[in-house]
Amino acid sequence: MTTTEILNALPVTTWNHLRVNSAPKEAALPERPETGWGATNTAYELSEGVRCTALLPQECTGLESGLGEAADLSIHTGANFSRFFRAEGESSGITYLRERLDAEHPNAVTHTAIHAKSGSKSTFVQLIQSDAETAGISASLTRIAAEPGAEVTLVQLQLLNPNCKRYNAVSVKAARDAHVRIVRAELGGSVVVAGARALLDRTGGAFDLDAIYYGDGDSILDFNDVAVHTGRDTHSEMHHAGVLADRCRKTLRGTIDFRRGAAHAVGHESEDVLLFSPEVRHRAAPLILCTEENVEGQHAASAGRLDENVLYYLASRGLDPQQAKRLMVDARFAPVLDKIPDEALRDRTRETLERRLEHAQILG
Amino acid sequence: MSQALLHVRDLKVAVEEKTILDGLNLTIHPGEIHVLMGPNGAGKSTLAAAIMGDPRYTIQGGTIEFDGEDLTDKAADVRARKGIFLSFQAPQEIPGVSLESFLRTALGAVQGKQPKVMAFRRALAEKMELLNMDSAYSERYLNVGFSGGEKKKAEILQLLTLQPKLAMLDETDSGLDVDAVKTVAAGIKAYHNENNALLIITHNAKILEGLDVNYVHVLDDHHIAHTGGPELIEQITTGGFAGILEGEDDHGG
Repeated sequence: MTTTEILNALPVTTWNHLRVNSAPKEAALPERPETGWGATNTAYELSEGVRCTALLPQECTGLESGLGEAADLSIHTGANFSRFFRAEGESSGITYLRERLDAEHPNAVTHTAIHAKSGSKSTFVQLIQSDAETAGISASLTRIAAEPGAEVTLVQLQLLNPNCKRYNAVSVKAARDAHVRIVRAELGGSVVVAGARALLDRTGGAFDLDAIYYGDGDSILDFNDVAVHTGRDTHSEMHHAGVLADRCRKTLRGTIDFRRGAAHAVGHESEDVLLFSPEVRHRAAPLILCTEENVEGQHAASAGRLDENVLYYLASRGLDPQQAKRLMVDARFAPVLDKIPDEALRDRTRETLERRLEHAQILG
Repeated sequence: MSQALLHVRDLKVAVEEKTILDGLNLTIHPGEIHVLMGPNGAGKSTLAAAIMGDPRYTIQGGTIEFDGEDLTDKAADVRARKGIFLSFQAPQEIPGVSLESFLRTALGAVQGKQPKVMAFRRALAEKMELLNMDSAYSERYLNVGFSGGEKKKAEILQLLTLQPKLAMLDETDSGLDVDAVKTVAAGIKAYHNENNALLIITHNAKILEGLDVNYVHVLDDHHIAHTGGPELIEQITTGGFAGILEGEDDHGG
């Protein structure tokens, strides 16, 4: 594994001086040490209807993530933990994938593939956490192939300490009437690079991404999410919300790519960012590409400080400035946190977030 | 007469350096219902906003005393916790915060402790029924996608939940159909008792049906230009403000 510098490349490049064409060099994927990444502290629990397979399912190969092919290859070949799953039938349970970085296991470079058989229904939760100090690396490549009519939900909760680096590559392929939902919470780390790319190449395929992020200190957050529509009546929804403080630098690229053949396709994307410092650098590059006429594409963005009118409204109901701020931060995250299917995990995520907000003196 | 709940003395209010109210006096006692009327742009909403503590308005003179305490320089949240409530003409939409969660947080803020969940839910369901609100609205994000009527009902639901000492209703009836006005009026009636008071800003007598109005004030020329009893409502509804305001001077309530 060698250093991969070009990550999260914008599908169509723009002027370099805008600095949105790809992730900054400081966010490059590190080179694998000569001695390898070492042991990982990873585990998984299968739910009914989901089983492990020894080999990478053929259906999951050849898919590119938002981070890009070079990063995918780098994680794939350098992984110190790989796990491949096949989902069959409808399952109401949750398959858990857990990793924890600590002094003895500072790096987890993982390769996961999920092959959802036709008509299956499955939910996966990836929990990525660490001890309080270790400056570790979590790099994961997750490939999802959903066969016709399959429904897959992947919930990614990243609660790393502020010294860690995080790379999160996701690739998705949804067949006819298949529906893949990603819920992504990137709430820790000094460097966070995440990119999901969905290929909707069959009629009725759908992809949802509900993402939240939090950054403070001097952290770098870089996102590149892409929905490629080539099938008829395909649908993508990509919605991001975040809170940024201190001198954090964040770039979000969100691309809906309607290609020839994607008649009646619909794609919506949005971003809602709350800024708690004038030193935050917030960049956004929403793109809607179109080579098919009969489509509906829409993007919406809002960024700024807390709305004075909203703060006054909350004050008129008795909330002091801290309570009002807390409610508004919760409001940004709640729609995504509410999608975490495990109540204990949902509470833990809220607590972690609250501690970070208090530490950054945003709350309390 | 009991001690005044609200005592506004010689109030002067400006927004962006433009004086809206000047020399305004108003006294409200517990148990009273006051109606505030006046031509468009007279400053009715400004008065309610100034009493609530809207930071966009500058108090340039005078005092606002509430329940024996001078609140002139206090922030809106302090005033709300003391028992002042304003039903907004255009309530804010807050995505991500459900109506129920918002009401629970607000009740916790004014009471100083969080209400018990089950008891709160039961009480909320009763109030929503009174207001003909679908219980599903409690799970919806506050005012997001609500129609104009639903937003106003949500304001009255907040009034019934928070039980303030003084409720100011700023054109709560505007944009409501006949049935919705009746429902909102029933909500206001359910709220009112001898220990609290209402200041109702309206152009519409319908919302006042069933309420024992004590005073009607007409705001004009930066201050309360005329005060009378409930008979004024009919006079204004049929004859407008012109006859009433002619040759009038300042009056307190």
